[in-house]
Amino acid sequence: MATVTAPPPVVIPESYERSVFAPVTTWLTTTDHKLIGIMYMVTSFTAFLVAGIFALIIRVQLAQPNMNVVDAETYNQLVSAHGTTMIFFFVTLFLTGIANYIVPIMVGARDMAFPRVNALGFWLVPVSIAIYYAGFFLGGALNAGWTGYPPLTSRQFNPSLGVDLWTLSLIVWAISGIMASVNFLTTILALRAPGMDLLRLPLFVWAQISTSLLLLIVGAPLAGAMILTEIDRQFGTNFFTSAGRPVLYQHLFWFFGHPEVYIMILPGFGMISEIIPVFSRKRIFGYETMVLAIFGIVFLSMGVWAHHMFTVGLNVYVETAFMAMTALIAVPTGIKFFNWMATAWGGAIEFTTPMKFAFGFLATFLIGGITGVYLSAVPVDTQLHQSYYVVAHLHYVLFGGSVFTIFAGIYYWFPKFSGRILNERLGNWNFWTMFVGFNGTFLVMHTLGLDGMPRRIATYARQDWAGTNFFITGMSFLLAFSVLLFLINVLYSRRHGLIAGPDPWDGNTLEWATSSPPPPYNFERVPVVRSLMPLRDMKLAAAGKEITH
Amino acid sequence: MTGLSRRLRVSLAVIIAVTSVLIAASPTLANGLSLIFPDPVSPNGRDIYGLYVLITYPAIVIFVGVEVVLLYIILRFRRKHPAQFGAEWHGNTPLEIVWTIIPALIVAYIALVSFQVLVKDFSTEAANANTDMNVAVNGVQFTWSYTYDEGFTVQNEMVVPVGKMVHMTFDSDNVIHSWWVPALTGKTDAVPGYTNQSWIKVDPSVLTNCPNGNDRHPDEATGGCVFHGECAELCGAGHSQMQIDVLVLPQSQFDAWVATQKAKATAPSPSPKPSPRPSPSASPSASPSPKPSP
Repeated sequence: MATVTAPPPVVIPESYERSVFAPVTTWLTTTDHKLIGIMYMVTSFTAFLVAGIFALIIRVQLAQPNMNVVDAETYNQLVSAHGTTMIFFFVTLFLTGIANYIVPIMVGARDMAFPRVNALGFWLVPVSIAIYYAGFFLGGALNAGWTGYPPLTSRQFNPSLGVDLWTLSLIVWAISGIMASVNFLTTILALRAPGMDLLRLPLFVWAQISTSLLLLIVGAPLAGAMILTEIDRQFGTNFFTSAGRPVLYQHLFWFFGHPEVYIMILPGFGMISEIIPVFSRKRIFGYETMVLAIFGIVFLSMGVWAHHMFTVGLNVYVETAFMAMTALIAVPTGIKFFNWMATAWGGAIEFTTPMKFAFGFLATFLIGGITGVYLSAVPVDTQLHQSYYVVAHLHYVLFGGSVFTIFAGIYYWFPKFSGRILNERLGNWNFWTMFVGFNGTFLVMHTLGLDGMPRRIATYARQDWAGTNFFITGMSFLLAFSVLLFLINVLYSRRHGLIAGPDPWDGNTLEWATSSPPPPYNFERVPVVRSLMPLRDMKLAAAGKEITH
Repeated sequence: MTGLSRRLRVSLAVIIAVTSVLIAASPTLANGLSLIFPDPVSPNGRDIYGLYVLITYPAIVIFVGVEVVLLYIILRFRRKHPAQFGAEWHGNTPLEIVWTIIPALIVAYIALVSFQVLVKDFSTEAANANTDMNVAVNGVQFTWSYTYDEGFTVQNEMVVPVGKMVHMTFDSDNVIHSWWVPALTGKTDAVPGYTNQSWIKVDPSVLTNCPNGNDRHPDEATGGCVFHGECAELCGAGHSQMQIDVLVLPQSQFDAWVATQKAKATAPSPSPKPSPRPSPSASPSASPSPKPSP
């Protein structure tokens, strides 16, 4: 439409259009939230693949006792890079990417509130990743685990440049995250379409509000912990060294680290809250309670950090308070869970791939939730903490939780991103290999922890752990295969997939009210919103049916 | 309908495949598959074990209940024809109150019982009550040293008598370590800068009942029982080598062992007070042992 009318459009020289640099400059200079969203997703998914390969090396190393595929120092670097990459560079940023693409359209905005801040926030991401990974080429990356507890990260015990690069990388990451958070909050609060009251916001948007709030609050303590670590290293101060208070670092780190868990799962909850109603053809059950539950989780999540520290020797009454808060967080999470089930109950469910991943999420996340209750009980935690039980638990919430929701989200919104639907047959195989591979890898892992296998050990001598570990390693390759199927699906479907059209799933929210992919300005006319499901209203109105709310 | 049945067939095929893989793998797996901690031999470890069992009851009920309902939803509420819509209702306050209150009561009960165990076994008072002897545990990269009331220090293997309340303190002058012997009790971190506490009181029954397993085994030289554990906090490249052995002896043999260690410690270099670093000769060999007890 821009090409038709009067004011002469900016003339792009033909030579430039033909230039091989044209696509490059487009991506480098764009402030379009959709392109930025895609760049977030591509960058972070690449990080996922790299960290996944690290995981496979780790699994090969642990397949049998006394293996020496990599030496202990390299192993520690791989473990640290796997954790850091998955948490900071993959899950958090992939979710930011989806939200960057979808949230402005969902609220009926033409772009994010601060498009250039958005671009800057994104471009800090590859900088942050590059700084971290430079360690591998400069004498060794971080080797103290993704949590990087001092004094193991102090200069006295760790002269490696990798630690300095890690602190710098996370400072840049935190700045980027804070920028994105401010942008999301402003966009959602200030740029909503007419009629979109707060209580008509889709739950994915509410989830993004909560996530942004959390990151805004806890990003600074993370950066603070990193800065103090670095000051200790460079200027010989004693904030966290063995002459200082190493536990103070743990408080700061986990004051970020635990809310980070919810930063990584709340957007996933939001996506599930979009997907289940659409494929059940039924309204979300208890919308207001769902919103309240999100904020219950937000507030509680900032008061539970010390449950990562039940073995450092806190006062028992302090531990009791953190235990109570931790146990309590199961309640809002439970509410969300039961409300999803009630949404599907009585629905007309179609099990497309996104819906399969949504139900896969429900089936596996439940296990992570239940093991979380075990871990909240301080005495039990003193046994399970720092063991493979915790490794299994965290993968049940991070992979069975966040990553399953990410795959659900990709299958759900890929038609919007690309105009084509991901192949259902490959999607089916992708889901089942991932579901079986994931549970095969991590379910039996709990037993190793119960039996006394600590996490982060480069090798082990006990023969009775060999069989279980070997099985886990085999299953981890099935899990890797599922990701390969996904990649094939994306590469195949973006050229040969079924044409999606604007609304392939019979959706309810505004992103389906515009073309796939949407034009740069998102909507030709900003829609007017009258309920929680504006698109459904439009479709009913077009069919001449009565709208009931 | 054909679509549905094909989907079911694929699902069934996958389930059968997985089950058969699991069954095929079970002989190798059975060895390392434990659904609970190793048999506890100290009262605090036993309380943790009991608490774990207590949490397991509601956990199983909730897990099975929810998964069954999920399966029911998957099978029962499928879209039968393309134009079909779901039910119109989308809220039920009493129901929501029920699934708020019930989980809240369950977790509150678990927290209450946990609190009782916590005060009973994990408070500073508990660690210091009725102490029979003290062992100061020090984490180093990458081994442990144990200093006894008598002033001597041993490395690698800790030796304790049965039936005695052993008060343990944990310290480190380097990085953080974590002392964990699952059969005894939960782990305690050795953090530089302050001293942590814990305790153990090993059942006398271990002297007669010490199966030759992976986390415990009879000590041939002494007839005692050795319990095994590992450092649980990443402490550097040697982390996985930082093993823990606790040899449990009858009181008489323990007393003899103490006498030997005292003699060893005083003989070569009569240092006045407990030196944190034992002289090389003081560090015991793998079998620390007074064979003939007096």
